[in-house]
Amino acid sequence: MFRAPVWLVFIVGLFMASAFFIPVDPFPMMQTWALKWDVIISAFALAVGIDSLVMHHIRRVQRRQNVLYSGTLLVGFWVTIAWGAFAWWRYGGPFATRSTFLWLFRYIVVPMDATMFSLLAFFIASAAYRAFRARNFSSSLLLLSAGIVMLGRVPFGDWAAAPIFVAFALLLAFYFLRVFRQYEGWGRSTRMVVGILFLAVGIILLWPIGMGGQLFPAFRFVVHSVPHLASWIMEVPQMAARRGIDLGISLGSLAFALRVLVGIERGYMR
Amino acid sequence: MTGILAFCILTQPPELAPAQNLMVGVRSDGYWVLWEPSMTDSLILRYEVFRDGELIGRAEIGEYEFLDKGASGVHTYMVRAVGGPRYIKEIEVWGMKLPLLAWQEGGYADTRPVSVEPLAGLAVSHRWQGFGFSGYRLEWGFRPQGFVEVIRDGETIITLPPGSQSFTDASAVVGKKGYMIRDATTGQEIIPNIRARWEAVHFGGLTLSWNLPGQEGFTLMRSAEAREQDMRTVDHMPPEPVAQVTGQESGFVDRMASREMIALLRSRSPMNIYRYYLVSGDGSKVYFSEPVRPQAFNFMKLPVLIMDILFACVFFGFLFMARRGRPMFIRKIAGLEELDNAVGRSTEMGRPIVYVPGIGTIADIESIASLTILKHVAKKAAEYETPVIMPNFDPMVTAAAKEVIKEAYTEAGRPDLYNEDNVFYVSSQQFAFAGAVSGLIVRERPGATFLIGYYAAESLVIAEAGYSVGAIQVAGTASVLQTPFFLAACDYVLIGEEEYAASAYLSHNALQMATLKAEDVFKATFVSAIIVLSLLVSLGISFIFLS
Amino acid sequence: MRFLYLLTTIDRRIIYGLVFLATTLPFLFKKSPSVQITPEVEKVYRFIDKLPPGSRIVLSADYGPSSMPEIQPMLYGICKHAFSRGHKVYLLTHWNYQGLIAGQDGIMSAVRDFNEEIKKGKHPERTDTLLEGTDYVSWGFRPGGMAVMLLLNSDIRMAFSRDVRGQLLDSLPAMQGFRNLRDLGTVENPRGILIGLEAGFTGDVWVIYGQAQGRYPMALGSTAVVTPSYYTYLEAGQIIGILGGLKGAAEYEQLAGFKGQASIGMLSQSIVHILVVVLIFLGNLGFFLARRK
Repeated sequence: MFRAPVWLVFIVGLFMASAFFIPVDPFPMMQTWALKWDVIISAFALAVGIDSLVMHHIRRVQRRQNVLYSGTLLVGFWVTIAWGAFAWWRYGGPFATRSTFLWLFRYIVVPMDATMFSLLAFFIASAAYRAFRARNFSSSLLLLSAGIVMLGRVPFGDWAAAPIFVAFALLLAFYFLRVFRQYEGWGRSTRMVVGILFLAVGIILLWPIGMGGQLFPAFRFVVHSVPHLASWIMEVPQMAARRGIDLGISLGSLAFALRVLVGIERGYMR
Repeated sequence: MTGILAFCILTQPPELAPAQNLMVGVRSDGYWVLWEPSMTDSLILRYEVFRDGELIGRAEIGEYEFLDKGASGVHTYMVRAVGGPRYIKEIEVWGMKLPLLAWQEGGYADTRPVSVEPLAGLAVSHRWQGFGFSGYRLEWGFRPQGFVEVIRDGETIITLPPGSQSFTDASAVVGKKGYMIRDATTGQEIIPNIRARWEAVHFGGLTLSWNLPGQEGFTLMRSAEAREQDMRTVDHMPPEPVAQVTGQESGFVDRMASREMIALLRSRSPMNIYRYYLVSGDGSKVYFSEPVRPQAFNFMKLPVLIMDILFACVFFGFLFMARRGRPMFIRKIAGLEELDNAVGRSTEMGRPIVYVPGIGTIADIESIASLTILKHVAKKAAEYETPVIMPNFDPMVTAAAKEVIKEAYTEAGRPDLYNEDNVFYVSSQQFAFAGAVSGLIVRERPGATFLIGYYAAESLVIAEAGYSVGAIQVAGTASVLQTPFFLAACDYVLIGEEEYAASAYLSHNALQMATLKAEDVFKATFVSAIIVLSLLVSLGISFIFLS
Repeated sequence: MRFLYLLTTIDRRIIYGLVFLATTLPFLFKKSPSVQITPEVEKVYRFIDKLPPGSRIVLSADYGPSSMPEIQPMLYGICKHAFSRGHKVYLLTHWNYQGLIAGQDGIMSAVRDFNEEIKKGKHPERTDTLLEGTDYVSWGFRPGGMAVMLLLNSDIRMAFSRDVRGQLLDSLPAMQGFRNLRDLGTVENPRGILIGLEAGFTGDVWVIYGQAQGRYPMALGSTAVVTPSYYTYLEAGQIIGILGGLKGAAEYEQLAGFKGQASIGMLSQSIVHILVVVLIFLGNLGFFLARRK
């Protein structure tokens, strides 16, 4: 029962893979044809999808479930279709220069789209507040690099970075020296050493006078270094990690595609 | 004043000059007659094109080309420049008298006839080399303020935009050249760091050979026709000189022939179909070759094919071992281990599960991977009698998902529990989809959400909605840009290829797990190669290995 | 100690309120910090600045409303800079209706503001206000993506016979002598530049199909998220420079000598970044002290 679709997948997949290597007819054409067929099939599938959407919400309204939301969708759907059809008849197209349909797009769709995208700012703040806790070494590293990059990429983040570093250093020194519980498997002596190191960092950052009478030399050094450190983090370790993940993704998708091609992977079909 | 000017112009008899540098190129749709403006172009009214003494068309002022559609075989072309003196005449427009510059047709000037014929003996072959040299890469540390001149052996070969810090000289031949970089604004000169580039498969250009006995020297020219994937021509480039060859020579190696000619350097870029011409010294005879056809196999991609075959061999090798019963160890993937727990938790809370397959279409491999995981989740949900709600971005994914879930429920022995209404299409607009899914999650308050597939900016919107209702969240995407957002907002995340490995991991199918081993072997090979090559470069062994 | 516990569990609505204040207050005060100019942005600015007056700047507005806050200031800044140098601006898009409307709104606001400046005498070299068809042209949208880019390389009129208002391109003074994108010249002899303003990956298509074939000067402006993927083209020399995100737009505004939405947005962005880091610090403070119990 599974044979025909699996063989079809194998033959078509092999043909399309060959087209990558063979630049003579009919192989290059087949890729373009496949793209065009994809567009045509998507258009028909869209009709099926719209039917699914509309019937889903009509049934909800009939069952008195979320009548407000489903009703709003249905009203909006039909108003948009009617208005677009009117614009075709009257102006030659919904996006023609003098079309009133543009009002719908410019003053309803565009602000809603921009609003949804803007929500990300709020969500990033709450997600960062929740997630960036120094529970163990890995999450501490994540926290540190995120803080440095966030502060190093904005105009006066570097000035804000130094006092935050001081506060963090003192906090961590206090934590390591005072807490008598385990920090993810670290022994007491290790914690003492790390705590003293952080205390030293905090004191050095707050040291008022440097060589040659310079004020707060370590503080200024941090202010100067943070943007460069942020750029370095983005250009070196971030790029390395991303390339590693990309390598894994490429191989993973290759292996998955081969599994689909030879018919071992059939979970996506019935 | 205008009358005096007109009188002055009329009293001077015009002497017209013919069009210059008449050339005939050959296109797939005919012969392309090209010329440069006459020296007295300001007196020219129009150009007339003659083929074998017969007028075939005209070109207006400003046009210096004409396409003789459908022409083939041996023909002789000539271009006549028709013109005369200019004068100012008055015309009446809306009751106003307006001056208008006009020409009085008074004479013509003909070019020398140019004959064009095919030369069957002009043969072209491709030069493919293994480990071929492909130029020098120049890099310099300082940032120039002005335009940058790259000088090779005292001659400026290219001028780069301000601030450039690197350049690849693909036209260089092997052997150290004297390079210098000069900042055009400050005059500062520096010797750049030079590295050689080698390619595993190098296209060395085209070798031309011909047989034209008893002829004087020629100008070798080349035209190109850019063709798309479906072989429709999209652009024509006129013939350009390549080299001057003497009458004794009967061959030439065109190293500059672009690799796009037959190589399709990127899989969808148009390719250039070249055609070569031998033009006699006085320009009166043009011999042209057949179009240089692509070869049946794109040798630029030979390394890719070799790697693919190697991968397939390792792949099938592990499959064979799995069939023979050899156990395959796969490390634990936390996100996949928790899938069953997540479904169980939803059941305990009496809440549904929401499965969001992302914003990919059915053509995206991530969507297919998501559907394979969906089958497992749906089967578990069917066993626990927990409803699965699935909003979709793509209508075709909706149709496929309905089938997958129905099949999963049937395999679990509970086809009666399948509710088609729970799998529905929402919208193909990114943020409309995000808004709808967020609203759905907040209203339905699921016990578990699965966000597995291709995601873009809407990932955090959906993940935060899930967090706000206290759902346990398992996310997985191959999009590296969205993984950090999922890591911040979700409980378990499948990073990178873990999403593709999920179906093998969950099914515990030995054959599928064997393919993961093949993938791991290759990854280990690549990492080893990266380490070795990095060490070599660090030790100063300077070469770049490409393709 | 209850206070310490509260630090670990600040209600997210309070966080949303703080972020709202941090984002909106700078726009009320209209202050903007100076930003450090990066070489990628400076290259684009200097290139346009050094072009001979009357050169052609082609802008491809390939973004939608969700990316408008980041990319619209780039379009605005480039248009104003181009108009101040006497260049002509041409607008097209590959994103149906979204890009069309976003691009149109951007160029019209730049034209309106520049005309106001002309009336106030800020540009003494100009006597006339900007005219559509003479100083700028909107070609509009045509489906096809890659095919349109290739057609533009051979003849613009094959892709766009009329502008967005329905006027024949041949009747517009700005289109005289502008036959195809090769008329933008080359990097060595530039007579213009094409700048792709990208929110997605249309920039890849522009570089591969447009610039690689036509060899005209090209630059890109993109959202901060996709900018890293375009750096490979910058390193390969296929594009002159790149404006990345709101910061890139702010840098361009600073180079062009005015403070626009991007510059004000940078203050907002800075304050929000600092706020997020402070919140993270407070969260960790509460976390550590609560764990001590």
